Amino acid sequence: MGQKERLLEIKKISFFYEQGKPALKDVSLSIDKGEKIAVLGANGAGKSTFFLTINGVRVPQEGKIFYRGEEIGKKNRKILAEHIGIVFQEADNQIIGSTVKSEVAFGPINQGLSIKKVEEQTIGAMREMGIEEWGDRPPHYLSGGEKKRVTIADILAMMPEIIVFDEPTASLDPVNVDMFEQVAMRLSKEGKTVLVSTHNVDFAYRFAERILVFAEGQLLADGNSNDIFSNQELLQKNHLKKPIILEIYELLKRKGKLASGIMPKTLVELEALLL
Amino acid sequence: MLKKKQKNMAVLIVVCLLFSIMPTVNAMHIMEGYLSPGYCIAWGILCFPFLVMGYLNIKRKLKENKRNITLYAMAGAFIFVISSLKIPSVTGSCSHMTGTGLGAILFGPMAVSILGIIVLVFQAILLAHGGLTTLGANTFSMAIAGPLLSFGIYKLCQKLKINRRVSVFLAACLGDLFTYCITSVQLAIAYPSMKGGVLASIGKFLGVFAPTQLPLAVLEGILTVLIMMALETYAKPELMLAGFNKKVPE
Amino acid sequence: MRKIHSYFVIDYYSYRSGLGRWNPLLKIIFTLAALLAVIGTEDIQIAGITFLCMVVLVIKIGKVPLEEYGRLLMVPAVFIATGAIVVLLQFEDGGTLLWKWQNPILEVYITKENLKRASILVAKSFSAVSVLYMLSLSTPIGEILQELKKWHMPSIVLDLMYLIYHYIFILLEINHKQKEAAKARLGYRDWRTAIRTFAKELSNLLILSLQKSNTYFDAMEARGYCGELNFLVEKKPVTISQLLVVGLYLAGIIFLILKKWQGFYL
Repeated sequence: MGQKERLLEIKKISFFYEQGKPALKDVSLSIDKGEKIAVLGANGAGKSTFFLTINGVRVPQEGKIFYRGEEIGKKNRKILAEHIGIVFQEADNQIIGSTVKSEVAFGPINQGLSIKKVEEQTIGAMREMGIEEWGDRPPHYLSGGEKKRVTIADILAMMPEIIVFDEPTASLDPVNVDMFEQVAMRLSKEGKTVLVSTHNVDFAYRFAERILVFAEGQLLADGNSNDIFSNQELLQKNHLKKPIILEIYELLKRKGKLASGIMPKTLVELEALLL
Repeated sequence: MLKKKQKNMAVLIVVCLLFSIMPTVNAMHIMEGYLSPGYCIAWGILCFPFLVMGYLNIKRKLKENKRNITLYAMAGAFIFVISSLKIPSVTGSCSHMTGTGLGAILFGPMAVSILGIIVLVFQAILLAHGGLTTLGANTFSMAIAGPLLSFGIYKLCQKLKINRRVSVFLAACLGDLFTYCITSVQLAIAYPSMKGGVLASIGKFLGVFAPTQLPLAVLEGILTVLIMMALETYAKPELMLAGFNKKVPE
Repeated sequence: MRKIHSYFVIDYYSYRSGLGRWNPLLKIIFTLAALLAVIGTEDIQIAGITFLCMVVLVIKIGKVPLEEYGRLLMVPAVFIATGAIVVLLQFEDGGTLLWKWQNPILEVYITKENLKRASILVAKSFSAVSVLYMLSLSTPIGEILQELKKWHMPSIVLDLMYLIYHYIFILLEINHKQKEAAKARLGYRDWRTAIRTFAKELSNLLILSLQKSNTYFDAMEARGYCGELNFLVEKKPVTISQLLVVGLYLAGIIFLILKKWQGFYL
């Protein structure tokens, strides 16, 4: 893989909403190029605030943020929005254009690119999401899954280095969940850094190499997915289920039916271990 | 003789039919093409100072906090939506609230003038209620005069320590009636009677729209009271409509 | 494309009209000129010709189904008819009497002058409505706002319009779901209950929308919004055939106006 390329580094950031209780407390972590990260935690654990903070919409009251080594202050926080894109949980919260094309172009235009460049990136992103035919359609007549694709294209068009998906599969049907997984995998292969917040531990285990666990505004755990999902205490405390494939793996292992080897991520890998 | 009677019957039937389909009329939007250019411009000019005040008011609020833009937009969309939803009815007729009274009480008459004209533009384009040339006249009656009166009555009632529900009812109901009167006057000025002039014409317009507009005004009052009551049951912080610089009244 | 709100037929067709390829500025100028011609001249002939042109354009080129168009024309029909009746009927004597009806309480007269006024009113209203439909059935709101932007409309107002247009659909969809959920719990069993439910829906809708407005701002800012909405403008050039249609219409109208004037002076 070669040299790691550090993109984002945050040091002890805290964020308080007006009511007083912290939404983020002393969170420190760093993110490298090309990582696949799943973010777990109950609703209200601070995941969304965390995303908005690393995107620059929320300015933390305490702590420091660095992007590619540059310290981010109030003035240059646009840098964050330039390089870190969020696909919001509810497509309706995000969509504001009156046609699909103008919607996808909204971000690139705000980036101040030339019209030619805007056009190029917009079309590119729409093609990538398979929606290049929809340019003239008004988003408000699209279905839930279709809107999701538009919102992903929105972010791709901005060509961010880090893409954040906030609970992407929450209101999608199985077909669109598959669509999303493929897109996430593809993006990761293309070298993008992908963060996904989710309640679906099976997906998190399958997809991510690294897991962040949030609870009450704090980053409780940050580690490689095998370690996190083997940590019984951590899982129980945070009401996280163990991925089903791991459960079966452990069961079979207890019964002595498996050869030793790496922990399986997929059914195929599990099968290969069967004696 | 017989022929004349038949004719009379025919007219009577036509009038009855008209009144039976009348309830499909919503708030009194003056339709596209109804006013000649002079009146279109005159009403537009009359609206202008109010719109400028509303604009400056909103601009100031946005300067205080730019997040208010989505708040105002939501308020505008809300006014549009309540004025386009069908009120449940027994007869299957189709009537709508104007929402001006509620808007004035919640968001203040200043903001409502700008939000109101935007809503009217959309009603003209998306629903063909009202029109582009009649925008000035409609804005004056529905986004300025009505809300101003509603707001005035509401404040007056508060000063006089009148029961809250009664004051909300009066504000919404009378605001609605006032709008309907202004529209009748606007129509009458444009189409004075041959003999009795504008005054006679006002009477005719008031009369012909009364059967639908009077019950609608009462209904608007009742609905506004119900909505305000329901709003009170929500948590207070939600109701601190910060951008509108006023708390929902106790 | 789903057709969600039967109420919003106009918006729906505006995105799929054959006239949608037309240059929006040309359409707006066309609309304003035609409106001015109709309400400025108060002439039945001009109103009639305008109406015909617009109907042909919308149905032939715009491809809006005829029955849908007919239904749309009925929207303002009741208001127009009511107003026309007011103008038509007179409760006192005077003018060239055509017809009268007397009984002990009421006297109603129809005069020649009033009949003429009422027919002009009906003609020009329907004609003007058809002009408005030509614009609204072929031009999405977004395009109209883009043009207004070029005319230096304050950006605050434009942004508000843009967002309001967008939020309208969101709120309507929420209300649609609210209503179904309420119906499932007998919220519309009778009129009294229905009115109460309706009011509750609306107040809940207001709270929801105010809450959402915060999230929406976040989402805009996350994509680099900084105080002014800018969108990609789709270029729709004016073509010769578009100019020809508009030019022919205007030439015809001007000819009619001149002819009328001449008739005046001769």
